[in-house]
Amino acid sequence: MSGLPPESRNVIPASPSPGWGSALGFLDFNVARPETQRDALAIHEITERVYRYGWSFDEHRADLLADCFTLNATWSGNIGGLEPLVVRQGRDGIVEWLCGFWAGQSDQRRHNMTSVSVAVESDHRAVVHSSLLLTSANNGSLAIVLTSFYRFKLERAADIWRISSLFEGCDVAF
Amino acid sequence: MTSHNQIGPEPAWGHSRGLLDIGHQVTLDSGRLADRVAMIDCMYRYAWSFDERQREMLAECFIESATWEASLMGIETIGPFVGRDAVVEFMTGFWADQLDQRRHLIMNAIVDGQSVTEATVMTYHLLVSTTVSEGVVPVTTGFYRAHMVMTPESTWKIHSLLAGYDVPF
Repeated sequence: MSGLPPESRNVIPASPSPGWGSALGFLDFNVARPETQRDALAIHEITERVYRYGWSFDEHRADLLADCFTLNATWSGNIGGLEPLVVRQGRDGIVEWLCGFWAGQSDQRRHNMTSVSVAVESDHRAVVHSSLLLTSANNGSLAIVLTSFYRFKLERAADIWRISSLFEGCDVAF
Repeated sequence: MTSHNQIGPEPAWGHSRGLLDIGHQVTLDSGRLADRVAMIDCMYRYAWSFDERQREMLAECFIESATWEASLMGIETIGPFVGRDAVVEFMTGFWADQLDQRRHLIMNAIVDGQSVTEATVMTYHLLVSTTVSEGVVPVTTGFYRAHMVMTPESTWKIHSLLAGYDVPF
């Protein structure tokens, strides 16, 4: 999560071009808008799912992290539109990969999710855009690690919304 | 708030120190959506009232018997302060010494154990300080864990608040 796979860590891309997410087609805001009270309920549940994704990683809760994803979920990403990240397939693979960062991160990270915008496409599908401010607390000091955008696709099954697709666009490598 | 030479925090200290016990997300009853929005709004108003130095508004966030305590990285505890008046007195006591504009940015609000009368709200906070001389400076991050209750006046207020800080301030 917000970490480069080991094979990409030595890549130092140039500064991202402003609006690179939209310009390169990673973001598409032409999606359905909420219309009903039922949509409002779904929007709240979906937004909370996004927040819980951040919480579960930061609190090292693999069980809660797994609960965020559908069985066949995918995780993908890009750094500044210049460096694609390796696509991860399947909930178990995603969780194993994300949890793999924990041993090497000795700081307290906080995935601060902001500007969460939810488009409910149907009773069972939704698209979400979110910004991320990733912070790191270590040795009594606080640092901003990076900003990103997320594009999530969520599916609802057994009355629970889970992430079926996640794309993270990191503005910088780290 | 205090000087602190301890190296830290350890990652996921809120969970590992037993201060956070986050549950799995459950389906929200549509009839309780308004309650949930109201209790999260109470947390927003808690931050607004401190940053804008609105003492009365701050007091209104708490029930009369409310408690407030803080944990610095799970290592050091501040408080608890018991009773709304004591909580407000403690919090507003910082204002005379804090000459910067502080902003408590509340994010990632989630709710567990919501019933008709109570719930636990957990949020992140990012504290930012602004002065002309130093510019905008991130001060600390952390979490809030608030036990909220529905009052007889049908408003949601804080029964007990734990503030967790990743960096001493």
